[in-house]
Amino acid sequence: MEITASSRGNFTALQLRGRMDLNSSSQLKECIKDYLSEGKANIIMDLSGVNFVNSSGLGTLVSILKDVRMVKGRMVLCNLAQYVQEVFEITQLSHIFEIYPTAEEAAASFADSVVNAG
Amino acid sequence: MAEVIRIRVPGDAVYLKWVHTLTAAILVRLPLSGQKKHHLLVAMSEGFTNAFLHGNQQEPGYSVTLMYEIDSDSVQITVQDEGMLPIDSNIDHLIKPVHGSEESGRGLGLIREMTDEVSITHEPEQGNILTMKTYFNRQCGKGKAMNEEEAYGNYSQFPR
Repeated sequence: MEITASSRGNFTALQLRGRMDLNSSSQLKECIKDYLSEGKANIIMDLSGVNFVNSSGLGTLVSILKDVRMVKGRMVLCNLAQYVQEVFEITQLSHIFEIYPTAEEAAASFADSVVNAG
Repeated sequence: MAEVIRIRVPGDAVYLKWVHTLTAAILVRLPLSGQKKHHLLVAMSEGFTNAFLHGNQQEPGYSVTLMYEIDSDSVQITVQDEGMLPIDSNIDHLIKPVHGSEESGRGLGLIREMTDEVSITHEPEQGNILTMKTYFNRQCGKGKAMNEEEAYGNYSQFPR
């Protein structure tokens, strides 16, 4: 899995590319662990480049979401391909994760949270 | 008469992508919607993962046998591990409610939702056998129908 990161405002945007399964699990967890240890706990995961996700990939995301929430951070997903979105819906995880149709809307949600906090 | 493709694969995570590619290459010429092909790819991925992870308990040297049976109206995929521990063959007993915060336990549920028929048996001295069947003309039970390009993405380049 390819992971490209960029820091913007009060969040870190991660662009993921490839398959999300058992083989990409540890790489993704380690990556997030590094960000959390640096105090970067607001994360947008752009899944537009993810062409396949199975239950192992979902489990990885659930694990990461728990880690992020443990440090009072926030993680949102965006740009899910239709067939990836369907897997989230079948497993009911679409109710657990914050999912936005576009990266812009995901970014705006962090801006809103700053305004609301202020 | 069914066309049968049978292959034995080392039970290891490094073969996950290979199994995916093989399955995609077999499915691409079948009269299935893009959504159904994607469902079978997910189901196969779950079946293969369960086979080497839980069935074979990741024992080195253990393999997983895959069988694709293509009939005039359906495709049946069988995943057989070498696990010696008997399991409950009632799939409803094996699928437990998974709560949002749990990291595992969604695989069999996905298989059940993404195929038309599924069964699990245990053969003494042989292992666990997961059988998944999808009919070409049966409507998908979940989600809305996707077109082939949306659902099948990068796999449409395989020869038909």
